[in-house]
Amino acid sequence: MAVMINDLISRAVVPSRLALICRGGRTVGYNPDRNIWHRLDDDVAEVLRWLRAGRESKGLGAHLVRRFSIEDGNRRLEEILQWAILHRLLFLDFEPRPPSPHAHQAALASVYWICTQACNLRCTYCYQEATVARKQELSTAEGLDLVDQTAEVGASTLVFTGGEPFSRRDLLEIARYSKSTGLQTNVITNGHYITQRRIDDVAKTFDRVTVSLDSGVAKHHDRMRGQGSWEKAARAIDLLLKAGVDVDVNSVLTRSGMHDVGELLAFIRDRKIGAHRIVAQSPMGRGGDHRTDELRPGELLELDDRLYELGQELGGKSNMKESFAEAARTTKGSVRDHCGAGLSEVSVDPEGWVYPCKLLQYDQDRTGNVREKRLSEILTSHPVLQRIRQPFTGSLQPCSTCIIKNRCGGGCRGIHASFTGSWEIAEPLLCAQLRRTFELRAFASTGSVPPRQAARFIRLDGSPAPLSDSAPSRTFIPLEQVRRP
Amino acid sequence: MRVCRPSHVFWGIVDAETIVCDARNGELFTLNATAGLLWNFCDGRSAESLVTHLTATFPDHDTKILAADVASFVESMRDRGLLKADGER
Repeated sequence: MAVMINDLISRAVVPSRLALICRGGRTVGYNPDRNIWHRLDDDVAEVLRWLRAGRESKGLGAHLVRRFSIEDGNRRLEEILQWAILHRLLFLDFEPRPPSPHAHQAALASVYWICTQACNLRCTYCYQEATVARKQELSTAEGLDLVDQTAEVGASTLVFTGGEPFSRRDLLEIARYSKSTGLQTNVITNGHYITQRRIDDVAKTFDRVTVSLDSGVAKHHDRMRGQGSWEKAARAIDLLLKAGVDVDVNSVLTRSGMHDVGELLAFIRDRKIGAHRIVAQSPMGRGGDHRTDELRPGELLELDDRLYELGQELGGKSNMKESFAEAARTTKGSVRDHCGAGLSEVSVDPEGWVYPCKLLQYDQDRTGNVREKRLSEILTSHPVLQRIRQPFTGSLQPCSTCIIKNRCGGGCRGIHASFTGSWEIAEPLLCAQLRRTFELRAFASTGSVPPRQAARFIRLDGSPAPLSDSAPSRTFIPLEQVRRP
Repeated sequence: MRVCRPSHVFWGIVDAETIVCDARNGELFTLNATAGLLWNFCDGRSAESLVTHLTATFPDHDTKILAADVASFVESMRDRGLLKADGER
């Protein structure tokens, strides 16, 4: 090949924010501006590290010979440079402009209608603080009109949520109408009202049913959601699957739920579930009154590692290796700068007020009411929506300087807001978790995940402390920085 | 006509796609599956033999259409300077 090494090395441009992510002695190279990553051989990592540091490239071939016992250092360097250019971890002559963000190309896709405040359960972490129906909830006629308004704005999906949507006696009537207009019609439910008697109607009406199930062990699920609720949720899942309905499962993970999350994954593995979404409990709604049920910071940071390990042990569909790897692959190369709140989705509360997202129902996030204005008018003109649609990652801190900003798009702003009071203010712990999640997924999508070397910390008094110990009164410093006598 | 790759390009398989780099300007090209298949044979073989290879891979397809595809591929790559006729500078 006539592309000469001296030419390549003099023209190689290192992406301005190239990251080398190390885990268990292995390295992934990550080009954040393009959201592209690749597992690196040791000598490739060394070359990128060298060039990133701006060191004199003249002696690099000789360095490879010394460090890796390579016979022809320049030949290997040429191969490495070509490999890195083809994999977009280096460029020739200049760094191209990054691709356009993915989220901002998307039109409104989903409307979540919180169709009632009523619920038969009193889950300890309910974001909606559901109890009984509000006095001024949308009527059947207004619900049917909301379907029309949803279709008018070009959304593809209407999701009925609550509360418990099946608490509304007219749910099936409105949902059937929704389906007849061509909208993808989904429902999120605790499953209690999905019985043998109703299953045919439910199966005919909904395209996808999401059932909430927090544990694979009945008594642990019931402790958060109410006596007997696990059995009814599990029965609903099995009835739906038998009827041929697409079923997703949402799981809220509490501190006690960490102990039996393996049983939950096994439950999913044994059934033909579509998506299984696991979120840690946050201080939303009633969750704010049960902060002691939240995962500890260390547990939250380790959550994905734990799920991955359990998935490996369980195998089958719950194999988290595959799901983590797949989730990473499908978004590789596309750039996100937004979570979608107010952009690809909005929510409508039981009384018709429109919010950017069902998890952002604070006073300051309220826009117009579908009783007074058409949804199309609210979407195009309301300043709250116009503001939240701006790219998060260019304006919010710490997004603007974060290494994974083009990947996470700012994360779920509803969860951030539950900790900080505003979607504009990030909770650093969630950001740290997102970075750990990316690390795991990047490795999972490029081969096996090396075991993580536990960070070694000691307290200032010299006693050892585990990473998960996060009592706020204690200060930890990295062991390596302690000067020994 | 025999076609081969000029000395200013290098290439590789990245995430199951063939990527070609034009080292004159650093531009990267991602080939689709069929073009990636043909690229492997562009080592001085004739355009006719490319058609033969493609016909063997897609036996159910019309040979005339495959020949047109090969001609289009070769022309497009030559226009970009990513392929050259054997002996061409």
